[in-house]
Amino acid sequence: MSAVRPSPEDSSVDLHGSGGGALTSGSWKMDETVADSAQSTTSESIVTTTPGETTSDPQNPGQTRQPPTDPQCDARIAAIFGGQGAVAATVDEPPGVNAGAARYRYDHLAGQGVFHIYTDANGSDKVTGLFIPPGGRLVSGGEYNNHGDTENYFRFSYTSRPYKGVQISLLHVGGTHGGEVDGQYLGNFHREKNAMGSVRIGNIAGPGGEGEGYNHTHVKVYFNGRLTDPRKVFCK
Amino acid sequence: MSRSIFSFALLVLCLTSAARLTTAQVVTPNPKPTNCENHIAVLEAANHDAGKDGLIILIGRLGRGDNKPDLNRHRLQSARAYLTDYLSARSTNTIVIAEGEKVEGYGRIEIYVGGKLYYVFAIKANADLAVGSCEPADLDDARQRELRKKLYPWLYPKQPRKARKPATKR
Repeated sequence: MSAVRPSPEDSSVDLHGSGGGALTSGSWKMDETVADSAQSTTSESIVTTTPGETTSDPQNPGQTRQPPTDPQCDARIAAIFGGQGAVAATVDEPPGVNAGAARYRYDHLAGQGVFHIYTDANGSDKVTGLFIPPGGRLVSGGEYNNHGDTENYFRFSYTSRPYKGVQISLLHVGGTHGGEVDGQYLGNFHREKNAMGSVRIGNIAGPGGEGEGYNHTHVKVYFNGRLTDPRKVFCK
Repeated sequence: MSRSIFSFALLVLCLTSAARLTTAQVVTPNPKPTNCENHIAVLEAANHDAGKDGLIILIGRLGRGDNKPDLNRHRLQSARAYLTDYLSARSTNTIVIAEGEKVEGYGRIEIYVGGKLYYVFAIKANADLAVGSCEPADLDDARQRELRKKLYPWLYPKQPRKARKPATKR
């Protein structure tokens, strides 16, 4: 039930779960690259914060002020990580998503180094591709038990520019298979790319991210091992 | 007698809390279990709509398949701790928790804001209420680990201090 972490002894990663079973035969050396090359869509250096330093320190959300949302950055993140129609949020969730709930979600989103990406502006139940920037290597993932609910996540690491030092954990990934709720292994999307050159790893909204008008994937962003506001990584 | 006093007090609390409900939630008669992401989105919405000093009332009801000891209390404790300890969004005296009668079907937590039923969480049999980061414990940093303990303290019993061995002479 719990997520399977590749052991240091294993020597190969089966990204798509064929053969010996996805991450159970994974590699600590991260030897499966999702894409061939790390093509630059952004070129700037990434700035992180130290605890308590600024208004948007994910390590200390309790000390934050309310930062404004940045629609342009949200749109850029949606373009990097989503297929056609995808919408992203780092501070305010879109008005059409999860109708009636609070829009302002900084404490769950950028304040925790997280963004949400939805299937569309209404979080509809539909197939929308989930992509990651090229160059990411699968580190760990699979299904896990969240207090009785089986959900899933997949973590990728970047070791070359422009995202050198970045790790992303994608939770609630669709288009997967195996395990208890078909969430254990990534699907095979034949290295399909979106307009930003990102590589498809699945569909937006998988186990734990499904819900009427709230179909989404939750993406956690780290830089050099620290939770980092996604806007500092993908919109600088 | 004490039960009727409690009911009366609860009713007074409901009626005297300001009608600050600004966002109507859809309350379905037979709710189905959702997930952690929905739980926290609704709790944050209730927090917003109740206002800083408004009252939120949480009534926990066990379902037909619930038979774990303290389950109702644990679910209520997690819901409250998400707002008070995890988000530090409001003080404990602005949230009243109470255990109600058992119901058919799924166990539930009813949320009242401004004296009105705001939302009902349905919860799978014998499951705790999933709240928090909604992420696997594997991804927790030190801060998240501590917060997780506040949401589910019964899962992290305090270890008894080891008795110090008396110094031995060599």
